[in-house]
Amino acid sequence: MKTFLTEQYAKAVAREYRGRLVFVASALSCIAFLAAIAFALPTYFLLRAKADAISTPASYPDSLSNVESSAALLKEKISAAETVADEERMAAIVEKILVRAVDGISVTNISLRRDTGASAISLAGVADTREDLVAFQKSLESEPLFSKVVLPVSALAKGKDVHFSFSIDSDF
Amino acid sequence: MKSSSYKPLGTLLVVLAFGLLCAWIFILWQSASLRTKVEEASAQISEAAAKETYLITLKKALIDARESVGELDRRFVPEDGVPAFIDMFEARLSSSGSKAALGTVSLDDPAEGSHIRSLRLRVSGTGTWNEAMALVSSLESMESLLSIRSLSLVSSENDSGKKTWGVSADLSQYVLTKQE
Repeated sequence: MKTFLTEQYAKAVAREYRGRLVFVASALSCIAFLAAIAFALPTYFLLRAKADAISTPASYPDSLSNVESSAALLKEKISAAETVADEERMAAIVEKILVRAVDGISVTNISLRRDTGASAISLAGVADTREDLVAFQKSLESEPLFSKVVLPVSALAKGKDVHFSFSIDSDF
Repeated sequence: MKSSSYKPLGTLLVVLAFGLLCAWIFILWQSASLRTKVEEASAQISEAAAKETYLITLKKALIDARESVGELDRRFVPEDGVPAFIDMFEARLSSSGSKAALGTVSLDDPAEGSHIRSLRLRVSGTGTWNEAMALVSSLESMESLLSIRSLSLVSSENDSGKKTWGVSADLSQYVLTKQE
């Protein structure tokens, strides 16, 4: 396109155009940012008010402050009481052993040791005959409370007046 | 020329637009930060409210069960009641009929964070079979939380040929530590 403007005047017009363009763009930007700020401010103040309102740390009334520790202590007490209540009475265990001691068996020593998960009994005495001892062993093995009854084989060497010693595993 | 009036105003507008942009970004950033804070605090409040409800329910349950709790408490020996318990225990031994005596007494350290500790007692005595079993039954029927940890019954014959039984037992009694 042909132009009649001088080169210097054309540059001045272009500069003027760019200046006006920047002015208009800046003005529009200002309006847009002002609008954006206007829209953002209510949310900001609302959040600020909420944050101030809930910044106080939550605390329980005095009447509740000890409840949790009381409950924990009670739980500990119940657990301890249940442990004792669930234990098999030793007098009853001794009775269970002696009721199985047939004629010809004389018990001279009974030891019971209660441990968590590994309770044990040791039993010693004299049997009139080997048959009496074997019968006593079988009778002890049939007791559901005893998981394992061990009699050393050497105890069966003698036929009469047999000294024996049982090791019994149990869970009492 | 007209352009001279645009130049300072244009520059001012550019600076103003940049300032407004910065202000807008600051407000957005602050809002995001506050929103996070509010959400976290709301979650904490909800948690605290749920816990408070739980504690109120728990407190009510504890009040309702106070008689049972009192009954349970009586089975424990208070820490400052150990001497009285030992007196009562010795009285129980002498009433059993066997010649039983209290040997050693010791108090275990409580486990960390626990309010319960064990009082260890060792008892030994002699008597007939019936007396020995009466002693064991008597110990096991005590109302306190007494547990026989080990028991040994050994028979022997005295000079007159009479069979007697030696009893030795290790016992454990739960003791409540003092509450602060």
